[in-house]
Formats: sequence, C-alpha cells, structure tokens
Amino acid sequence: MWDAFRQGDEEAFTAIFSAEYDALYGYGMKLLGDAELVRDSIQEVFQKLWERRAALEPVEIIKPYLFKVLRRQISDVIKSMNRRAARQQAYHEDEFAVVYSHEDFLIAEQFSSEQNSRLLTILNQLPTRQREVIYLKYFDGFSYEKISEIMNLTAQSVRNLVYRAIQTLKELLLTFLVLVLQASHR
Amino acid sequence: MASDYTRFQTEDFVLDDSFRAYVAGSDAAAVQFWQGWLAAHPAQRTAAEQARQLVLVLAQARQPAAPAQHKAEDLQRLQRAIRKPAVAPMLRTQGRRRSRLVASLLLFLLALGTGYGLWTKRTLLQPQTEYTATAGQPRTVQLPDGSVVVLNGGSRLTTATAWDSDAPREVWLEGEAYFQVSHLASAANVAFAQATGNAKFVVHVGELNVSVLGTKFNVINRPGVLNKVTLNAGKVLVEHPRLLGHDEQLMKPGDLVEYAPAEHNLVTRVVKPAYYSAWVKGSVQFDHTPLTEIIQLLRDTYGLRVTVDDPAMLRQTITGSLPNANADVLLSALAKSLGVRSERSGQQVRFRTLR
Repeated sequence: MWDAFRQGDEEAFTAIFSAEYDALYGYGMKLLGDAELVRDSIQEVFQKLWERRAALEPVEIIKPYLFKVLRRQISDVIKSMNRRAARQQAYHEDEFAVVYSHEDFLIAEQFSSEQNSRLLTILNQLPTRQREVIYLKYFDGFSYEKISEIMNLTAQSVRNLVYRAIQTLKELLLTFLVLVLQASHR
Repeated sequence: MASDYTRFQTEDFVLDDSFRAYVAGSDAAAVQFWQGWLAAHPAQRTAAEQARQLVLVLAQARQPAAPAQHKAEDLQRLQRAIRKPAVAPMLRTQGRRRSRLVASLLLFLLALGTGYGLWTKRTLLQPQTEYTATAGQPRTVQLPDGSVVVLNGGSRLTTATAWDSDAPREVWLEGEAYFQVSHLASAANVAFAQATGNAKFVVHVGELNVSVLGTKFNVINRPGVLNKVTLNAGKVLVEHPRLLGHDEQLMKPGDLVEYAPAEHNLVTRVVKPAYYSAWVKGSVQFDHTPLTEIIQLLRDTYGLRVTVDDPAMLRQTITGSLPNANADVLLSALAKSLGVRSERSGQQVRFRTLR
C-alpha cells in the first residue's frame, strides 16, 4: 500500500487516509483538544506526504509513522501558538497535556461509573509523558518500540514511563477497587 | 516465557503480554499456562489478582471514532488538493517581493470586488434573508453552506437568500456575532488571494471586511465600542478598504484586530479569544485572570471604562465561571467575587471598597 502510494497511486493514498483517520483524529484530539486544528493538522500531514511522496522512505508499518509525523506537526502548531500568545508558563519541548474523559472508557458491567470517574481522575493526574504513553499503549495498542519511535524516546524509557504509570494506578486505584468489589459481593 | 515470574510484582504482571492474554482469554495456551502456574505459586496470587483487575480496567480503554462528517469532509478536501497543481502555502509569499506584490494587487482587486459586490447586492435587490436577535436573546442561525452563526442580542445579519457556488459567501453584520464557518476550500493552506469560487466567506461589518476560509471567530460592531474581530481557531484576513488601496491584517488564533477610526488603521493585540466569545455560552470562565485583564475585556466588549478606588484591587485575580448575559450581569458577578461594590453611570464604572 505504502509503495503504491509512493509511486503516485491516488487510491492507495486515500485508502491509507481512510484507514488511519480515526486513530489519528483520536490521538490528535488528545494532544491538542481542538477539532478544527486537529483536522487542519491531519490535512497538512497528508498533503505534505503527497507532495513529497517520491522522496519518502519505504515504511513497513504505516500507522506509527503517521503518528510520529502528526505529533511533530501538532507540536509545531502548539509552539507557534504559544510564541504568539507569549504565555507565561514555559512550554516544555514535546510535552502534551493529554486529558482523559468519560468517552474514553467503555463502562463495563463490573465497573461502576464511580470507579470510572476515579480512574479518570487518577489518569489525568499522571505526569504528561506517562499520560501520553498510556494512550498510545492502551488505546492504540502500540508496542514499546513503536511508541519510542513516535515519541522520540528510547524503548527503555517508554517501558519505565508505562511502569511508573501502572504503579500509580495500582496504589491509587486498587484500594478503591477492592472496596467496591467487596461491597458488590455482599 | 523465560521470565522469572516468582519475582514478579503486580506491575510486571500487568505489563506481561502472556499474562494479559490470559486475563483477556484470548490465547488458550496462555490461559492454561497461567492457571497451572498460579495454582503452583500461591504466594504470587495476590499480586496476580491485583494485576488482573488492572488489566481489566485498562482493557476498557476504547478509541472513540472520529465524527463521520469530519472524516468525509476531510477526505474530499484531500482529494481535491491532490488532484490540483500544488498551491503556494499562504505565508510563503512574504519572503519574495514579486509574488508579494502580485498578492497585494490581487487582494486590492478582491477588495474592489467586494465593494462592487456590496453595491450590486444593495442596489439590484437580490432576494435577501435577514436574521435578527432581540435584545438580551442570543440566537443561533445556520447558513445555507452549513456555517453556524450565533447572533448576540440586538444584532442583525443579512445575506442573500440563495448562495451562488462560484461567488464568495457574503454576510452583513450589525452588532456582535460568533461565527463557525464551514471549510469549503480544497487545500488546507490555500492563500486568501487564491481562494476561488465559494471558498471565501466574507463578513462585512462597519468599516471592515473580514475574510475567512473556515474557522471560528467573534466580531463586534456596537455603538460605543471599536469595531473588532477576535480569532479562536484558523486564519482570518481583516481588510479595511480605503479610498486608495486598503489596510489588511492576517490574523492568527489569539489575535484581536481592532479598527481605530481616529487613526484610520488596524491595530492587533494578543488576547484570550475564549473570553471574547464566552457570551455564546452565557458565562465566562476565568482562571487566575488578573482584574486588569478583565477591565480591558469590559472595555473591548462593552465599551465600559472601569476605575477602582483602591489600586490594590488591580492586583487581584479571578478564578471561576461568571455569568455574562450582558454587561450588568457580569459587573455584578464580578463585584461579588471581588467583594466590592460596583457603581455604573452610563459607560463609566467605579469599583468601590466596602466599608
């Protein structure tokens, strides 16, 4: 598919767009939170890819590559917005404030909405990088290696970030889960 | 399965692929292995049970699909863009003098064109639709192209009843409105000067023409308040036609562009656009916002001049959501949260300390 696109196959290109749009949109919304800017960013990424198709490298797995390019595009958008708004708070290179919401989790039967709220609170209090890693791992199912490519980190630091996030979840969530489960067993 | 599971802690189980397959029941071999292993290692059962619960919680993660309409529109936009010869990205003309000259000539022609359009529309009596919002009652209007306009109370919007697909979309505004304009241009980054057909959307307001391709912005033109535009997202070109040529400002999100009639020119400032469009929701959300910034907002949006008794008040910040249905509602909420008394006479407001 990727090779067909590089040779100028329009159908292959739009098929890639259609196949990956939802995932890119979801990730973009997590990074940026503004639907119009996310749509413009995705558009920009694909139009640039089309223009430069002849010069592109072969890519084995398309999705993480697109995530990486979109992440860079959005980082540029945020940087230029911050420069203009002359925000007081410094923008940390490549850190995005991912925010989780109720739509992000299916409310399975065994979990109450209270537990879900609790989970969201805990997730949203994690450090920004941990939040993003959790998104890529559990929402998009990327491996550590793919996440390290997307976020420009080593696989080991991705692993450490996930580990620390799970550690926090364990400490804050499990006491709560046990209480609720006991209550529901009665 | 080379790992030494006896040393595993909860976190390690959560991150182990084979353990996750066991919890999900997706791999019969993993299920069999773990059932056997856990039976043989009772010491690890608590950690494994905790891990099982965490895996279940995380398995609830789901990716919401993008709105189907966005997907379809964006695919069309992409298809149109790649079937055309590449267009020069918008800001690139800046570095090259010649193309810049050409661009400004084109813009000048466009300005003349919109002036002409205004003239023809007003004199040839094309069927028009007029939307008005009664005082104190904002009203939401959907235009023929799908764009949405929220008209603030006491405002009026006029437009042609039927829209032509090969002419810019045009509306005339008196008062204040918040626009969410549908994007009809094929390329993401097409320049205003190159926008053809109905790609461009023009708001004629007071002395200004506000051109956009698809974006969110707020426009104010009220008696006693300078004509101004604030941009929430996207790109906007504000033009002020003059006898010879015109002024123009290309806006970025966060910009406020204001027309100062005394100096006959356009002035740009950086603001928080959400404050300016907050009337749409009926309340404005402040977050450690200095009072000085709110005083500027009151002046920008309602033409109010606020003075304070005690300069120390100016150093206070406001956090929280205040109702802003109109100037008086906002003033009284503000006074309450500051613990002061507000006295208004005409456009002059004084915050007095309570004693």
